[in-house]
Amino acid sequence: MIVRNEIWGLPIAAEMTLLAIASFASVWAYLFWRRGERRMALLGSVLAILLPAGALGILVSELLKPPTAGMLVLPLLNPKANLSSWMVWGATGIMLLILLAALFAAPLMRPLEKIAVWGRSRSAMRAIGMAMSAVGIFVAVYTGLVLAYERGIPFWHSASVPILALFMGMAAGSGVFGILGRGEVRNWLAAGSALTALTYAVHLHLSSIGPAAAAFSAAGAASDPTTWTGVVLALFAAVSAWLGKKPGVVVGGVLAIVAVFLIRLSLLSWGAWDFP
Amino acid sequence: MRPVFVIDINRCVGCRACVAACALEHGQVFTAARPSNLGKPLTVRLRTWVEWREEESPAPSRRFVSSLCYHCEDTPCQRVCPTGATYKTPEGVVLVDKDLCIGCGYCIIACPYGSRYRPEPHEWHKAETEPLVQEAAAGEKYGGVLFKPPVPNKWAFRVDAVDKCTFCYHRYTGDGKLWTPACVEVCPTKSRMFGDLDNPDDPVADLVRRGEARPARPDLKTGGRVYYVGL
Repeated sequence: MIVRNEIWGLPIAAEMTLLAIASFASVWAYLFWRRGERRMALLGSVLAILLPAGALGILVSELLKPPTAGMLVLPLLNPKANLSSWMVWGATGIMLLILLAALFAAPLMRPLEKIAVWGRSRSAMRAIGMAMSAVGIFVAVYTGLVLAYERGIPFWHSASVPILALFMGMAAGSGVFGILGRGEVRNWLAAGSALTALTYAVHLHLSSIGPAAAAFSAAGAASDPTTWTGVVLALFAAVSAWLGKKPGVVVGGVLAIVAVFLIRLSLLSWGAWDFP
Repeated sequence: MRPVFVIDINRCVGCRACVAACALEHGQVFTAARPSNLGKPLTVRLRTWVEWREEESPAPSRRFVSSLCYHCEDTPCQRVCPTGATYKTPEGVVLVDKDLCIGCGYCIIACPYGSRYRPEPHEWHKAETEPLVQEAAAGEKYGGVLFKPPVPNKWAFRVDAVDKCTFCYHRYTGDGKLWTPACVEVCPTKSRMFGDLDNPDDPVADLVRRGEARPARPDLKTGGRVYYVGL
């Protein structure tokens, strides 16, 4: 008997989209800092603080014990935390991203310049920036790993899901700077969006020839306007960013973020079990 | 002691006394007794349910497949539980520490049998404060909604934690002797049976040893303590 997932839906799709944006925004923050663009570096790192915090807020509102949930998931605060659960590593990664982004952003803010003394050392900032970028990329991949790891839902239990999550992070994180008209992100935005569309199309095809529940999910997703709107928008984003100049990159940025949300929603809402 | 649960599909008449007994034992809101509810996993939101399987060909037929937590050997729910709330007793019973569970739903996603559910607090609070609000009209003639305090135990139903079958582990006194779950106690046709795999004279365990009772989905390779006759 095939039963569709109703446990993780719209709020989780929104949460994971915020994480996707934050993940590569942190990478771009570091890259902009290396180019000496302080304001853009600050923007990227502030996004890497606020968006994961917002994502955690959405997640906590979904839980049954909001006051204690955050503490129980972190292994530092709960000795019984299960280290074989990706959620533990994801929560730890998100907290680390917020912490590292705060360390990176503080010296870039004029009022905090004197307090954040590590900002005077270029090598210290480089180390923090690289760590922040690495954790950012992990957070992007985590949003796929958390789904792909468990076997209950065959549509999610696939190696293509974490890869899709990585490309979605690339598209959405670059999309933010695309909206600001930054031409530097053009290639990443185009590549991330195109690869997101391609990977999801391949994933749907592979699922359609997989186990019964995966085939059900693929058939349902393929006929869902959410899916094909997401895929088409991702392709438009890629073309727009690749061919256009500044307005094209701006449009590409908007389309990429919307596409990432829709594809994530499609992936989540079409997960299904095949119960005995 | 290794408790094992055997369900004989051929004996089940779909009366759902087991569902009622479980709901009463653990203080759940009893909404699943209406005949219109075909007992699909995750829709009934109870620890145990009876699915009505109807077929038109080759001849019209109806079977009743009751289900519960399989208490897997290789436990997908335990592996993904972030807080360590899901754990296994020395007897192999999979339980949830209700204080540690945050209701993230990861275990529900991971369970390939649909044996766990998450209470939606707004629904349950409403049922608790106004027990007959939604269900009474439709279910009045079948008894409506019932909500009562559970038999005191730390694995009883709570609105702030994921819920699942415990094999009525609270009935185990710790003396090494097999207990009887509430659903087995009330089953009028002995479709539900409970035994001990470590007891060579146990007739229920013997059904498993002889291969007469089989797991529902051996392809999932989770192992487990629930076996079916006639599935």
